[in-house]
This record gives sequence, C-alpha cells and structure tokens, in this order.
Amino acid sequence: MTYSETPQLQPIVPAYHLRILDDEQLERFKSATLTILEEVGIHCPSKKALNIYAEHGAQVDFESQIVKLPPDVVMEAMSHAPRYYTMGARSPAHDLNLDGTAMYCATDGCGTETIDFETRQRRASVKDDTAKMARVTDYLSSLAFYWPIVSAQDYPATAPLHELDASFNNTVKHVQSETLMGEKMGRYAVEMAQVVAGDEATLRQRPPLSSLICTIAPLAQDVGGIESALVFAEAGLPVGFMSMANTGSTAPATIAGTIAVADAEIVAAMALIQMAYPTAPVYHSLMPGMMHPRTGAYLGSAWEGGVFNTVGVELAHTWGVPTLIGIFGPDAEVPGWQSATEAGNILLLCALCGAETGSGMGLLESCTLLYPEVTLLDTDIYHRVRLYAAGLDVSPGDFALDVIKAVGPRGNYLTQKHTRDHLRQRQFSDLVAQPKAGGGYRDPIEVAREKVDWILEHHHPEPLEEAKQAELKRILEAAEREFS
Amino acid sequence: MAHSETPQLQPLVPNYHLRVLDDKQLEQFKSATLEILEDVGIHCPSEKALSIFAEHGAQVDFGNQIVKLPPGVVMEAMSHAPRYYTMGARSPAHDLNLDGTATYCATDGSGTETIDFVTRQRRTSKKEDVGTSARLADYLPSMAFYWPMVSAQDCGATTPLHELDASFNNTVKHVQSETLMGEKTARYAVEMARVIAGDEVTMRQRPPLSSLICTIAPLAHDKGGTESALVFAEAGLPVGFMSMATAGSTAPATIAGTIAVADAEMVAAMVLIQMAHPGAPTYHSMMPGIMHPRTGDFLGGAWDAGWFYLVGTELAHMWGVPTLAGIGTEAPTPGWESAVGMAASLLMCALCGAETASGLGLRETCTLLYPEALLLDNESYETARFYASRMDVSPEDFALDVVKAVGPRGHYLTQKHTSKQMRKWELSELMNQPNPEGGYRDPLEVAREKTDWILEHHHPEPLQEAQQAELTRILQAAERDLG
Repeated sequence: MTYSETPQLQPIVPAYHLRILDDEQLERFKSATLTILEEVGIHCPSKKALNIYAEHGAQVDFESQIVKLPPDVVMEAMSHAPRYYTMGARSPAHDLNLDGTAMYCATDGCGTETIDFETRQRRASVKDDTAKMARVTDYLSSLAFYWPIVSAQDYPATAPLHELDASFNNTVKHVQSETLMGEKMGRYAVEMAQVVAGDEATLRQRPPLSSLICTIAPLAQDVGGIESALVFAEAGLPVGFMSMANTGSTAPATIAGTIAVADAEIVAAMALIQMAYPTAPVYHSLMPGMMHPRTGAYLGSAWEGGVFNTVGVELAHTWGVPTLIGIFGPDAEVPGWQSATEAGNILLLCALCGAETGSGMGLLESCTLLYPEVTLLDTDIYHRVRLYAAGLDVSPGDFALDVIKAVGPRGNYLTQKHTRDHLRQRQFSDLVAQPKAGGGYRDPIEVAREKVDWILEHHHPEPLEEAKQAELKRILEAAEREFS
Repeated sequence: MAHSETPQLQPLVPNYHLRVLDDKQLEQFKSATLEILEDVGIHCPSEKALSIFAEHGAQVDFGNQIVKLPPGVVMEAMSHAPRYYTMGARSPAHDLNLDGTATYCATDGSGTETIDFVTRQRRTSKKEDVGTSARLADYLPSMAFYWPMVSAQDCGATTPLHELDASFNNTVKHVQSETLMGEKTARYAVEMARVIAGDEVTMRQRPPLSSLICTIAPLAHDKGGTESALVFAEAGLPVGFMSMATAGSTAPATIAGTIAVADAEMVAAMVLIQMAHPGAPTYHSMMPGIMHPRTGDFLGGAWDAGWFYLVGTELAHMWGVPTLAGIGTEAPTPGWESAVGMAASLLMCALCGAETASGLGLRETCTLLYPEALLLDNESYETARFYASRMDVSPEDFALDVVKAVGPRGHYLTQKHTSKQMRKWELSELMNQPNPEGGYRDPLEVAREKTDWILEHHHPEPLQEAQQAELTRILQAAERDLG
C-alpha cells in the first residue's frame, strides 16, 4: 500500500541567543520558589505521593495533605533530573534530541470544539478531528511533535486513550498528551507506547510518548495527574508539569509573584518524580495567564504576560531541565488580526532564549476551539521566525558582485540567468501573496483552508503495522471495559 | 484656548540586545559595498553633486554621470558623520535623542489613498487626512515622530509643503518627510522648519524636521532628491537615504547581493552629504524587498526579506550612523496578514539597536490609509515594547507575604493586594473588551471607535498664531514659485 513520506522536520535553530534575566534576577526567582516550598508548601492529595515526599526529607502533614520542602531537599532531588534527552518518533529521522541547539514545536491542545472541516459549523470535538489534525501535523515540517489537538469526546470514558490511538495511527511523530489522568489511564497509555516503540530499550531511549500534567493553582497537585505522572516516570517516559496560575485570581496580582507560585508548583512535582525515580526525564512548563479584570477569564496573551514565557524558559534551565513553553494559543475567537498579533514575538524570543520545546499551534479561544486552517496560519508565522532565528549565511558568491558589475547602474536584473537560478531559492510564504485571477492577491485565510483540504486529501502517513494497530485496539477495548 | 496634552513618548527601550552578524560578516558586507562603489559606481544626475564628488577625490565621468568612489574617499567622508544626534520636537519633552538606548517609531507614509474617516469609502488622499492622522499620532505614546501618512493630493505642485503644514499644525512631535524633492521645495521646507524652531540655534540643535530621500535601484540617485538633501544638510537638518532595491528585479536575486546594492546606493549618498557639509546629521535606511516571482510586486514581507531590516540596522552602525529601520505590511486590509507583517520585525530591529523605525499605519504596501490601522499596529508596538523591556524584580514584586496568607488552594481575588495591583496592569485597550451580549468585541471595531474618540477629543497645542501665519505665507510664496 502506498503512503506519503513524512517530510523532514524543520526545527528553529537559533544562530544567536538572548538572556532575558541576569544572574541576580534568576537567583531571586529561585529563592522565591524555595521560600514558598519551604514555608507555604504544596497541597498534595495523593497518599502515594505524600509517602514518597515524606521518605525523602519533606515535611509532610498527612492530615491537611500539605508538603513543605526544605531547600536542600529540593536541590538534591533536582540534581538528578537529566538536562537533555530524546523524545522519540517512529523512526530516528523524526526524533527530537533535546540538546539545547534547536526548538521543536507542537500543536496546541486539548480543545473541546471544532469548526467542522466541511460544514464549517461549530460543534463538539470528536476522535476523527484528532486523527485528521494528526495527519496535517505529520505533513507540516514546522510541527515536530503532536499534541492531540482536541478531545475525542465521542469516547467519554476513554477519550485520552482514543486520542493516543488517533495520534499514533496518523502521524509518525512523537506524541505528547495532556489528558492522561489517573494511574490506570497512565498504565494503559504506557502499554500503548510500548506497542509503538516495539521493545523496552526503545521505549526508554526513544520514548514515542510523553505526558504533560497540569498543577492546580495556587500551590496544589491533582491526584490523578500526580499518580499518572509517577506511572510515566516509572516507565521511563518523559513527563512534564505545567502551571497555568492566573495573576490576580489563582496567583498574586504581580508578574513576579505569579511566576513564583507557578514555579513552586512545577518544581514540587518535578522533585517528587526525581525522588521516586531519580534521572527520570522531566520538563518544566510555565504557562500562567493574567486574569481579565472584568470577566475573570484567563488571558494568555496580555501585554505584561509575555514575560511569563521567556522567564519560564530561563527558570527551567536554572532548574536543570528542558522547557515546554507556550507559543501561539491566542485568546482570539476567530483567525484574524488578533490571533496573529498575539502570536508574533513570543516564539522568536523563546527560541532565542533556548527553549527546547513549545506547544500551541492551531487552536483559538484560549486553547479550546479548533479552526483547521489555524495550524497553517500559525505555521506561516513559525517559518518567518525560523528564518529570523537561523542567521544569515554569507558566502562570497552570495554578493553576486559579477552580476552587479554586469548589470551596472540603472540596469535590470530580470533578464539575468543568475536571477532565474536564484529567485527559486528564495523562500516565500505559500499563503500570502498568492495571485488571484483578475488581479490582486487571495485572502491568506482562504488559501490556508484550501491547503488543509489538500493535505487531508493527499497526505497519508505510513500506517502502523497491522499487528500494532490491532494491539492498540485491544488495549482500548480493555480500557473501555475497565472504565465504563 | 484649551488644548490636549500630548502624552509622554514611550519608546522601545531594550533591556537586552542582539548581534545578528558577526564581525567577519560585517567586513564582507563592507567590502562588497566598497567594491561596488569603486568598480561599478553610482549614476548621479545632479551636476552640482557630480562637482562635489569630483572635488573630493571621486572618479567622475561627467558625460555618463557615473561616480566611482575609491575606498579611502568613502571612509574619509563617513568619518565625519555623527553617530548620535537629536531629532527635535516643539518642546524638549518630545525630542528624540538618538543615543542608542531607545528605538523611536513613526507612522508610515506616504500613501495615496484613504479609507474615508467617516464614509469608509476608498478615495484619493488629501491634506486634511495628513492633519487628521497627525493628531492620531500625537495622541499615541508609541509614535515618537510623524511621517505625513498620505499625500496632500488636493494641493497641486506644493503638496509636500502642505503635508508639512498639516503636520506641524497637528502634532508637537518631530516631523520627517519623504516627499521633499528638488532644491526649491527643500528651501521652502527649511524655511518652514525655521518657523517651528524659532531660531537658527534651535533649528540646528533640535531640528524639528528631517528628510528621507530614496535612491533609485540599482545604483542611482535622483536629481531632485539629491539636491533637496544638500539643502537640508546645509541647514543642519537631518537627511537620510533609503534604498528599496528589489531582489530579482533591481538587485540580484540573493539576499546578500540585494543588501550590497542597496547599501552602496545609500553610502554614496551619505558620502556626498559629508563631503559637502562635514558633520551633517544623516542616517541610513535599508528597505529592500523581494520581487514576487509571478507579479513582479515588491514584497517587503516575504519570508526571506526579514533579514534586510536587521542587517540594515547593523550596517548603519558599522558605517557610524543611526538607522531608520523598516517595519510594515503589504496586507490589503487590517487583518491576519497585517498583524503577521508587524510580528517580530519591530522587536528584532529594536534588539539590534535601531534608533528609529517607521512603518505603522498603512496597508497595501504603504499606499492605503485605514484610519484604524494605526491603533492596530500600535498594539503590535506595545507588545514589542513590553517584551523588550527590563523586568523589574524587586522583593515586593514576589508578594511572598500574600502567597503565605493565601496558601495552597486559596484565592487571590479577595486580597487587598490584588485590587491595588490590578489597577497598575497595562492591558490592551483593543483586545478582550467585553461584549454586552457576552464574549469579547471584535478588536478591529474597537480600534475604529477608539480612532473616532481620539479625533473627537485630542487637539494638540496649536502653533502660535504668528507661526501659523508664517507657514501660510511660505506656502503662498511656494505656490507662486512652483505652481
């Protein structure tokens, strides 16, 4: 059976770098986090986790379920966390080697509504949406890994596992889920990952699946999240923690205070993982928002909030782990001016700060609504940023001085063979400046819509081997029986 | 008479910086420019300029009007150009001290059509639009100086001077024109600047007007532009040069080749100015594009084109002058594409140390004025400004006492600290504005309303009556002379 080749990844490879915070500022942040962890503590509703904390030097109140972590306990635990590791794909060609030289980006997730691919009506999301967008992701070189972009709500009890099934069957790229809650769910997911990896060694060295667990702001863990994370860590699959503390509601109404609360939540979780499974691959994901002063909503793209992303990158590195940073993910309700304005600078800054991974392409309305074409629109911005960050290669031939001499003042380059040869090497957007019959250019958003249709019609990634497909189905059925 | 206070400027003040080219690459670019100037030369159609070039060591062919500049001559001339200077406003509070610590932005210009402020019909631009837009720019702290945004096409031969009149009368900020072509027009413009400055000393120390002259790619100067530039330099008003060389049509189809052609054009012009008036304030403005491979259009926003503006900034500094960096969009309307055009480029140029930048507020590749576009682009500016700025991290900012008081799983909404701090937040005035029916309003609509509000309420301090009268007199004299 023929299938489509999955294009090579095109990560952002910055030629130059930025430091946003100086050492003194970083120290202050670290110190604030350690103070919070020591004096305020974290609420942890998992008995299993409380025991692990207690066994490793934390001060645990089993009644109130509050864990306080002295600084040296934190530092000791974090000293085991690996700074660099691999997030695997079906084949090494699409592996993500998180080594600090490149930034790899993913789709956003996990939305709950879709603008239907055909009818354009707004409706609840279903598994097939996740599958379709996995194929779109597989096609786009801008996307290095796949977050199941929307919830498989047509499988209520086992949606997270169906999301994995839809993902693994429709992209060869690494999959990262943010919906695997609970120990049992975690175990089924690990089984599915084992099927895709094929063997234990591959699973550990090139894990095809990773997990993202959210904390609960302020300063709390989620029992399902924590226990799922422990399962992943035990299996050697990367697990990261994200805080979405909200300035003014679930965090103090200052930027630094919000970062401190969020960072404390994340660090407490990563420390737990290191206590239970030293050297387990983990990552740090700081994604706070600001509370809308009138509606109370989470604003992911407020002006002052931009610093959350860049500081998040630097804090992750201060703690000695990779980051997953928030990119794109506008609060905008439709593709348009607002969605692009909110995206612009953050990806570039985070890449230049050395972010290893980022997620956020493809959804609107603060990560809840799937417009199929938005992934394409975001990809356009991604490539602009990628080119900015890449640096300019300047070889002597690039100056074309011989051509300049030949054309001279007031000449024209259009007739030069050099022009025909080199214009083809220039990189153009495939959405913007597309000529329209009759003159002018087409609306890029319309072009994006057509391109999504084209991809879905023509791009069919290499399927999993039939035996693996069958095994995944079997796992789903077992989970269905257990959870229903 | 009551007037509105012009808000304080809010330039971009980057807390961190970037180098996009290393020293070796900069040398390569310098070397390419010098080679072009020495071996290929520039076409210069001004007899006056040709003579100046010849008197200062250039190799001039008066027959073909080609000027070739040996490297030594270029370097000597450029050694006189001031690295830093002031672009003045009506009062020092709004002066732009180009000292490398901040990036000051301007509106785009000079468009030829306007979406009417009231009827929303598309029509030819006129003088009134210039004044209206100037008031908008005066209101916005992001706009540090004003380019007349559109052409005063209802004013005939003295259009550029009417643009100045409309500008000076409607903003207290520095004005930079890109339409002052020809020696005579320039002389009238200098007279107008003198009226604003009040006296010769102020005019030279805090010039209220500067000029931008475009070169003609490839490798040519414009007679009217060159001679106007010389007038400005003589008067001590800053004059800069912009190349819009286009890869594939008026420049080679490589990024480096296009930059080299553009740079050579600009450097030759700045050299001329320094030869004629050593120490004259000048600036470098690289704004090339890439030719659309099908339509031939100038694409300033093509993926590959982003490099032009960053390298341009660094080349300007290498030559020892400030830059005017380009930002802007080809998008036909305010929308996704226009925002993408603004994204990242302004921030990057600021991080590279651009002293000035222009390009906010027009659509369709700098030709069409949408009244609300300035407010929308202002949004991109503000995000860039925030991202570039230093994050204050004082102990109080961590609010650890509040964190302790609220504890795990508490809530901050009821904290006095929260209600106090929230008032200090700087939030977008366009995005996330609640809709009475639920959800949020379309930011483009909000921008339109805000534009109307500004125009209704913001009336900057007018010029003194004597100054207004003097400007009118100059316009009339120019009308008689040029009309």
